Amino acid sequence: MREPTYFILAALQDEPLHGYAIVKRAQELSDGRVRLTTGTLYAALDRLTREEMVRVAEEAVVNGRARRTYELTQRGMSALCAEAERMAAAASVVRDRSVRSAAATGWVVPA
Amino acid sequence: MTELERRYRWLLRAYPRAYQQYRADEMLETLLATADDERRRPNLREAAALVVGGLRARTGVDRLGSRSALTCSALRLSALSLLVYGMTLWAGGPISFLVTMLSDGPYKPDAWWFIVIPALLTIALFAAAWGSYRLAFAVTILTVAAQLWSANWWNDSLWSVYSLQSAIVPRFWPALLASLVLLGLLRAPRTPVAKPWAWPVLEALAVIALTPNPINGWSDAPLMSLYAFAALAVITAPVDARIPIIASVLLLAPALAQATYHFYFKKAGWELGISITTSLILTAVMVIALAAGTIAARRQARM
Repeated sequence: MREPTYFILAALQDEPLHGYAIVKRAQELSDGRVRLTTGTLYAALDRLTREEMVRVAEEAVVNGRARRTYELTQRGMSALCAEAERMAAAASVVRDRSVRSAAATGWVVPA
Repeated sequence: MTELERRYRWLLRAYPRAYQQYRADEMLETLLATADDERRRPNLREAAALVVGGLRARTGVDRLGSRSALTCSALRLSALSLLVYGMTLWAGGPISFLVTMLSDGPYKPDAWWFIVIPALLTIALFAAAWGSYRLAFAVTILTVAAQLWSANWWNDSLWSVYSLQSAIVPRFWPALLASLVLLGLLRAPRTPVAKPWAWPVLEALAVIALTPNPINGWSDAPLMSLYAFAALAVITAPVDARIPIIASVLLLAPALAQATYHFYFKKAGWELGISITTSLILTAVMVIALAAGTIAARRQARM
């Protein structure tokens, strides 16, 4: 899973959001690293909708324009959790080694 | 309507009409919400993403979710492109025959291969365009056999030194390469084909535009500027990974013809008319196009 996709799914895990809110939330969650362009966001949402990971929760008209709110499906949540576990396992390979090295040398490992 | 909104609306035209109807308003809302208040022009990053996204939606590559779907589609388009390329290379015969018939009256040639081979290629193209890959495969094999037979028809055999001689020109290779590509599609699940008539129409346009014929008045011009096509294909890799893959497959036809040329003339002990550098450049261009396609395909297949 690519980083923008991961953060789009992560942005939707708490509540349904519309396009602009997803961009902002993904930026916050990634500490400003993921700055989604509108083209990238909607291409990802189209794909995630086709793969039934995301669905349209609500359609409304705001300022005369259509606004859709998207929510995570059970399948999307499972894919997000699986990816998070994969990354945590990959991170533990380095973190566990650091802890072991620190224990051996007496250093303090940052939390 | 503000200047920024007008410019964004113009950029959103990169998307297909149906997609615009469904999505343009919503995208515009997000684009305007993410822009600074005093901004009058779209920023370059947003504009590039919209153009690339629009072109990807138009080519349909964004709907090929898995790597296997992308591979199948690349194989199908490669086979169709090879058959169209083969048609353009063989179309000179039937066109000049028609022109002679119209200007000088009926005449009977010694052999009909120059009609039979393009006719077989056309049948293969129609079959492949409609998704009948087994039939297309069988007809391309028949085309290869007809090409070999046409090179040896006076000594009643399929293989002789003349077979190798016939392979030193690019037009020998598209049918053989198309049969190999179609082999990869024989076990692919049959999917409904959208716009099957598009390829025969493309073929007709390519033949009119690229073959020396009375319509365009070409005589000595090259049939296809494949180097330019390959360069363009590499540039378009971020939009559609299939394009550089198709370009590299097409480049195989002249590359194999040149390799056969070197082999044939070296074997005969004759002076070579072209330098080995040309072949090396062609191979390098082909490898670069294929690498660009493979890297882009891996990236596009990832979610």
